[in-house]
Amino acid sequence: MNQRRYGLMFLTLWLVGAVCSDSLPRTEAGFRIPTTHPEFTFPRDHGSHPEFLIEWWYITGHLRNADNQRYGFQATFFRYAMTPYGPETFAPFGTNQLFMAHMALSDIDGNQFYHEERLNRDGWDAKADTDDLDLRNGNWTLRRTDGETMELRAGIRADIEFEFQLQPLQPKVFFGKDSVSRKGADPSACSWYITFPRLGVSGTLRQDGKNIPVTGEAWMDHEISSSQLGHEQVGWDWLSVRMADESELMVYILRDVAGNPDPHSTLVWIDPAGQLHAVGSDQFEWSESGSWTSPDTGATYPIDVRLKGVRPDGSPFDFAVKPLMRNQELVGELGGISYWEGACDIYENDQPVGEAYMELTGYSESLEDNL
Amino acid sequence: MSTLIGIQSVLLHLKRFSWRHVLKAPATTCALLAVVALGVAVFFSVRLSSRAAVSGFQLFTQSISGGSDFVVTGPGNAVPVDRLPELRNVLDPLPLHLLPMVEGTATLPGTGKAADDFDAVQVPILGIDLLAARNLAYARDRTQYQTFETTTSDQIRIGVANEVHITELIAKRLQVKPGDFIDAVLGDQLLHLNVASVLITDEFQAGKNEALLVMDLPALQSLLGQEQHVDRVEVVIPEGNQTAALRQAVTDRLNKLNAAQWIWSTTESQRDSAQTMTAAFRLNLTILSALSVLVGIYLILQAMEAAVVRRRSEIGILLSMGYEPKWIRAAWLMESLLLGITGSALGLLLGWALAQLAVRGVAQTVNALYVSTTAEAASWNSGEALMAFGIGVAATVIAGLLPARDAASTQPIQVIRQEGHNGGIYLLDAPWLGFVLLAVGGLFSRMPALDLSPGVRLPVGGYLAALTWLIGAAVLSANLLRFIPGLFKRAAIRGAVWRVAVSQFRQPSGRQKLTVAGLVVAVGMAAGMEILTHSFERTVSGWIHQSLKADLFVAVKGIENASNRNKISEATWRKLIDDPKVERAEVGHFFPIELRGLPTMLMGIRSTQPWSDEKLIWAEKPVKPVQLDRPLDDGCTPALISESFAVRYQMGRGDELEVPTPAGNQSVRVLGVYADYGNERGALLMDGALAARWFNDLRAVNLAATLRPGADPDQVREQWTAEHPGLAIRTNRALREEVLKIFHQTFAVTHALKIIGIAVAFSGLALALFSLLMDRRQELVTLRELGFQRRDIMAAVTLEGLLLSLIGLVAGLLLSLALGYLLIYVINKQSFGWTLAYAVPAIGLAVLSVGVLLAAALTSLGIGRWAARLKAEEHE
Amino acid sequence: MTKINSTSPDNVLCTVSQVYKSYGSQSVLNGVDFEIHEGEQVALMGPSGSGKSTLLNCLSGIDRPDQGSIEIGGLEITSASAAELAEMRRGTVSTVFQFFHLLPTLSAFENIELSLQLIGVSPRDRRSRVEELLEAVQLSSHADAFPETLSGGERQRVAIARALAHRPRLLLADEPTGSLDTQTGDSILQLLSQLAGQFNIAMVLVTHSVDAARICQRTIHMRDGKIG
Repeated sequence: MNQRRYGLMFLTLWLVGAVCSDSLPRTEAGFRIPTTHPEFTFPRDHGSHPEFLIEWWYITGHLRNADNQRYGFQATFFRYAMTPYGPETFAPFGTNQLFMAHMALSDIDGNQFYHEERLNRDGWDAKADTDDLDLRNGNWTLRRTDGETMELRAGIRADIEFEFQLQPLQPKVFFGKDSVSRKGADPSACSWYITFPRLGVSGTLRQDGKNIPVTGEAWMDHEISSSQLGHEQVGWDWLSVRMADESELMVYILRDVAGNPDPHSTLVWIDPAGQLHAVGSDQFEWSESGSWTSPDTGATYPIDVRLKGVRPDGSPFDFAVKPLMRNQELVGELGGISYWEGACDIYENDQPVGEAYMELTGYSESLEDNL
Repeated sequence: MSTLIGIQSVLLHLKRFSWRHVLKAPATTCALLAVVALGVAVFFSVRLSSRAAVSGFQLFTQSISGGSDFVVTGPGNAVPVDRLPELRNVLDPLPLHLLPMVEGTATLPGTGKAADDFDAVQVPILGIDLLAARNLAYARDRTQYQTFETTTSDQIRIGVANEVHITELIAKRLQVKPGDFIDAVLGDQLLHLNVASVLITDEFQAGKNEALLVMDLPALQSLLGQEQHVDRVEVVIPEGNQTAALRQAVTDRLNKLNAAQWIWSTTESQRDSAQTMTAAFRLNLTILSALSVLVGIYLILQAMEAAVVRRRSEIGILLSMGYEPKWIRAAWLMESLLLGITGSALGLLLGWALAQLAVRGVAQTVNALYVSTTAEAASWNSGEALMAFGIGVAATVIAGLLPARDAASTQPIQVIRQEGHNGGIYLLDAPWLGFVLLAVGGLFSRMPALDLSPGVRLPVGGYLAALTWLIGAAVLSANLLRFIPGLFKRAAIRGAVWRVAVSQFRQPSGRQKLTVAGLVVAVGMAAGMEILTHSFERTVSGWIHQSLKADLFVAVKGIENASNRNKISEATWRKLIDDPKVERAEVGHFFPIELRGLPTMLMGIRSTQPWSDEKLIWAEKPVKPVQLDRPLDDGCTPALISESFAVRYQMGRGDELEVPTPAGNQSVRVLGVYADYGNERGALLMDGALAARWFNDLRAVNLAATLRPGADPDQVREQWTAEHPGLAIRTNRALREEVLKIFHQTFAVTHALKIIGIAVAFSGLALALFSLLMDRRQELVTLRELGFQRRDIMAAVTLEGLLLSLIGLVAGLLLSLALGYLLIYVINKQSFGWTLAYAVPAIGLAVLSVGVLLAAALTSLGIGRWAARLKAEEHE
Repeated sequence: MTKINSTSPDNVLCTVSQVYKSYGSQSVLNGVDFEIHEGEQVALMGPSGSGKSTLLNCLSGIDRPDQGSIEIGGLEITSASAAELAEMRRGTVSTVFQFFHLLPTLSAFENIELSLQLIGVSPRDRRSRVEELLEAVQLSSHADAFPETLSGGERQRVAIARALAHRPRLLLADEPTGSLDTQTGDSILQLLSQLAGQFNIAMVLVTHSVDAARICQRTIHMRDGKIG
């Protein structure tokens, strides 16, 4: 990668030393830290929380067309605050928030991986509503239509366009003890983590000028925090699985410089009723069984994974995570962060048992300085 | 067998004759090559430089966005920022990058030595969302980034005022690096800007030669005082397999926009419109250069003929030995071809070099008249090169082949004896043809202009009339030569030198006729141009005298550039007109508008005292005194239009038109047409307060102040300049001088062409005399045998040349009076819409005449010297 | 055909019949008739303006009569095409002029060689033939000299050598000694006569000089454009 061109986070953030009058916990810079037992109100809390430094809405899913050809997709809207106060007045070319977004499509049968990255300031062409889910970044939008149904409209360059309706098939869940998901020893390294573990997807994918009706299932995270990683952490591995038996699994490993998992790494089972069962890093085993080296960035990603542990009912599991395509790397040209995120299948005893999306970060550069 | 021998003979000819002549007379060969090269060079350089001058237009925005596909703007070239989401919504969810842009002009102070900072540099400054621009990295193919790049990415910061990114060219010129500060005038303020980065220009389409400043959009908006709007939005379609379909989809969506609020065009059509604007000008240049090529071809013809003449006896001997005429023709074809190719190739090099010099002049003209152009160097253009090369080679071949054909097909004995040959063109022998051509030209001059495309009127009739008159005058003047002996009868009786010189015209040779024709064309063109410029200058001076009556004129620095967008803030102009020393003042608001697809401008005048029209010169006078600030009974807004506007839109007094403004379409009625020599796009003049309301912009472009009696303009000027360093404040006298300076810039190219034309004509004279005397070698020997001394021969030759030139001069001057009429009343009026008063520049023409005769005397003297030394033995 | 190819002096090489030529209103040739046989040397004499040079030019085809017929070696040259005339000049007929008409850009050797090049003689043969001719006109030492460095007599000798190089059957000489002094002129005439005899070439010699005419077998007198 050409460092000169695509240097990391090229924006110098002009952080105003905040003096806060309320008693809410804040970071040194003045951003709020997620507190336990939050009293969420929806749809307001599906919207933006500008008093926090970082926020994202993150959808990954598997799709099939009428011929049963498979696709994976990822749609991510990020928000970074540049000042700890929410925008009081609208500015068409604002400097309060930065909005980054990633779109990716894995055409499994065509063995093509499409992705695009975007970074905009808050203003006329990029925004996140604070009252409801209504996000825009250029022509990419994600908004709540009615109930908890959402609509995603996006595309990748002039190659791909998609328009999906997302309908929760299971209730949303809140990860973490007392609804605070811890990411490190530092008390500020935590988030509010709201997830729709199973969304029904239907809509149209436009590729090569043809409209392709698709259906499938997706996972959506909405995470709100002011600090995601501890100082020693260089990245994370994350996996979400929708099991064929209608339960779900989410696991994340926070890695330190030496590659060891942080004690705050977690594996969570979600049963069809939305009951969570979380275990710490000592209760499961994540191991690499194969890797792939990116021709673009030179980074080597451990994309073949074995995950072992015990189910909530006490029975052991031994999963093989198998990527549907090798190259599902998002090369970061604007933010400078490159990572692998792709559609995978879960096998147990050589039988497919679920659909998954796996994210592997921090293999090309350290994330700690960037977030 | 015969064919083989023929081929061998042609090759033999090239080796034993053509090449030996080159070796034997290198100077002659060089002169011949130089003539061909010069002809080609003139044409090539004019074409290249005019192309470069126009192509510099707006390329700088291209280099930032990597080339947008559509440009969207609104009435008055403004898009209110609160309407931007509307544009996005119309286009959703098409994957488009929308880049709002603000464009200004920054004046980088010059040396400061001149009182008015005339050496200051005008640089476009572009406001663009620095973040959004970087997203284009994905819109463009990864192998060819054309996006906004800096050496290190952390040099890009948003939300910072007074930070600027500069191109390498500026960095070099100002000797600055990131971290340094530069001074620049923007709007009416002098700013201290921090250089954040030097843009990596090697990735720019337009190369390294662009002077450009870039700022974060909101920062520039606030500096320019236009937070409420951007100038335009560029629409970029990302690359991918659906690009073509997207382009169509965008067109469909944009067509849904409310046409009263939005104006959109494709980037190509934008560039086309810039080219349209300057089309008339470039056409003028091309025609001028075509005329110079005509003169160049004439010169080549003369030179090649001279070369054939010198070798006619050689041709005769070869024929007598059994060379076939077609071998001779083929050999000369080859020789001319080689000469043409070599000469034209040299001409391309020379022309390219000349273009580098000429481009500044041409760019200046384009800048002053039309659009901002950043052309600094004329780049090589293969198409133009091919054309110039083709013309050069063809002209040389024809010029060489015609006389050689003639020699090869004449009876060899005549060729050997130099009989029956006097060169020249037989057309010139028919005086009736001259009269016919003059009459036809008269008819052409009555033709109306041809409408090529909206806004481009081509005075075809005018150009045809000029051409026919030129040829007609050439034919007639050629036939004037035979009157010389009669005119100079007395002188011929008195002296032998006179007798010899005058007797040459008893039966004027074709070559003499051709020479005089060339001179007539050159003098006619040059003097005609002189008449045009002089009439222009006189008219403009009169106009200035009438219209510039105030004591002080205030504008933002660099406003003399036609596309400068800087304005004076409301606070500033209000402060100035409230100065107790000001008796009355007029404030001008300026808004570019687009009417019927053509850019023009709306001028609003705000006056502290009731406005009066006494300063205007009328082309169509209003029926009663105009009061601009009162709506008419029918509800229309009263307005005046400039002559160019009237011609451009074919409008006149009493007409009503709809003006698109951000406040909706407005009905305006034309009460009169006034003369304005300031611009070619035309202007609509109306009440300033109302115009400012329509466009929601209270900034002014200029201000004219009449001071109270007793106030010293120079003193007030100094005081105001100190308070507002960003303003250019000129006294009445300084402004007049500057207007004239701009005017002269406009004609910079014309002067150069004039001189080239004359120079070529005299090279023609020299060659003609040379050939004439070569023909008459035997006669010269006889004269010497009769007791003529060298200086007598010199005198006779000089006299002959002078007499030839005199006829050329007189006929040329007469022709120029007619051409002047054509240029002023037909060509200029039809293409620019300016009425000028015909004025004959007595001094200018006298200088030209003396120059022509002096050049003739020197040329003939040089040839005479050579002739006096010509030996009889050179007969062989 | 056999007749033409025969070298017998009785064979007619050239027939001129009823040739008329005028320049403007001035008639120069007024019905000229005569014949020249192979190898025959004829002097053409007469006062200035009697038309002898014009007649000669008509014979060489570098001028064209208004009327009448000229047949040389079987070719009717008054109706011949330019190419045929050129071919004749490369083969049957060659001319020596009063003012030599050497090509200034060519050396003596090259001037002579040129007429051989025109008929496609190989370079080796050309060299030997030119050297032979140079020797015959006694200019072997001036082979590389250019015309401007040669004297009048030398130039004319080069011209003669050039005219004889391709072995024409008819040599036309237009006052070849006219611009030379008497002594030089005599030697040139001797040379012409000797070489013409040696190669059996018919010759028409236009001259003012009775002495010169004496080298010829026959003399034709011209007056007012007629043989008289």
